[in-house]
Amino acid sequence: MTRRRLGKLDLFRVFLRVLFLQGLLNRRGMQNLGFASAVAAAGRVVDGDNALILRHLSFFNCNPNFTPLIIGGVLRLEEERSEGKPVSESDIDRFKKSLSSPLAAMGDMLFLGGLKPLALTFACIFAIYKLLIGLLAVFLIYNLTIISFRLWGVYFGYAKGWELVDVFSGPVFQRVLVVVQGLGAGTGGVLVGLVFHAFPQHGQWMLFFGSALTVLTLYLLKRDIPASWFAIILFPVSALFTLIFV
Amino acid sequence: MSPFIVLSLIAGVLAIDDRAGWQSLAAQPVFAGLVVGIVTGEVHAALTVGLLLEFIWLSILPMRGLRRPDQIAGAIVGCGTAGLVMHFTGDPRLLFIVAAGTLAGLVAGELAARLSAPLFAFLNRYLGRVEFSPDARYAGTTRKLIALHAGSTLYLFVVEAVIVYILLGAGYQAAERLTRYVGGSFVVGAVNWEQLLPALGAASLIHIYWHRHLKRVLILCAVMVILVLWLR
Repeated sequence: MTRRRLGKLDLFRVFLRVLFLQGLLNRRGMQNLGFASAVAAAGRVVDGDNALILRHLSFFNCNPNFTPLIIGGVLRLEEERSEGKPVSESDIDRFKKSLSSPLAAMGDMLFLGGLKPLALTFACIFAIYKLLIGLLAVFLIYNLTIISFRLWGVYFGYAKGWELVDVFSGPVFQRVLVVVQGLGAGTGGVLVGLVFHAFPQHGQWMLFFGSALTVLTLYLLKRDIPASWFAIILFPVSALFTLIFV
Repeated sequence: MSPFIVLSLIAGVLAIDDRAGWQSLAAQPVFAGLVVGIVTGEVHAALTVGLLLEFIWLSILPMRGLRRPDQIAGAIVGCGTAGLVMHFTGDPRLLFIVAAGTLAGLVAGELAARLSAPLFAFLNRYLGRVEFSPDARYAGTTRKLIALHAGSTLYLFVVEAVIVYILLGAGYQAAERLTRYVGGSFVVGAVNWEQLLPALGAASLIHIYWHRHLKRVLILCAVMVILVLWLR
């Protein structure tokens, strides 16, 4: 019996599972169940054997936005294996392992360290000026980027297969990262400027206290002490200070 | 339907997005504040609380390996408290109510993280222990994975919704009593605290971008904005 190759609709089913990849996150296998679930969405066409799903239940962890690339690539390799091409199970396992760590680092840098702070900074600026349409635009653009990246990832990973390893070794990713981080730093600078411009409007002494608080928070952040506890402690301090001195 | 129940259900949906979905940013305080503001009819108060919480929690974005506050619970409780107090009491002291809401949100975020930790750890352990039979049929294993996915998502929804329902009730009661009984210097102190909070956001942004060439871009943009606004 000759099996048909994976079509666009099959890959779209994989993409739908990939959107909720994190739902089965666990410490023992991390994204293993989510990965197997996504592979299973197209596995019937590729192989149809229960062993295919079980093979992908081993430990797997990557940035969830870059995982679709690996899933697409794995489906391509599984397809080639079922067609009798010289691809072994250990080759597929090696492919997963060799890509997951570098792509996890890239994904964290690009999405957690670049796009997310950038989008949130823009959102804060729009929220300061109560520009609801701006907030909505940030939300839509961010989601469009994430969703289309995951969709592209499944199709691109499937199209490339083994070649996926070479694609991300070029300088393109570094250039994209520099642009995103530069934009983030610029927007961050704008927000810092807005914050410092607003302090004297509440009284000249607020500029002094605001600056002192910024320096103190920076000191705490450098020691990995989150600002949330500091903010809670500051409330009674501020009330007491005002009670005594004002 | 009671706004407390509506806000708890919204928290459950946001938990699905944040923990199981693609993290659409809807669970971030600044966006959650907008949603809560629309529900309570107090967009200005809820959005301001969301903005202040976002400023504070920007600091935990790059941090790893620490117990993070439950941002969803914190955002819904904080913004919800401010919105509901404004809505039900008609208190005109917007800045003070925003300060009370922000404090409620911060405390709720920390409490919710501690309350939900063992419940999420249970789910984590359960998912880690699931066994799949090699003798099962392909369709059976697929069905089991889908059932696990649905069950896990429902669990996330219920845990977050219940925790937020409890904390929102407590937060509202505390903030409502605070606005009823305190005045004078305490109110001034609370408002001063709230007006200083953006400094924490500024520090977080400086912390995130303070390396190599990025700090030059950050400083340049900050100085330019201050100059332009000052000259205007």
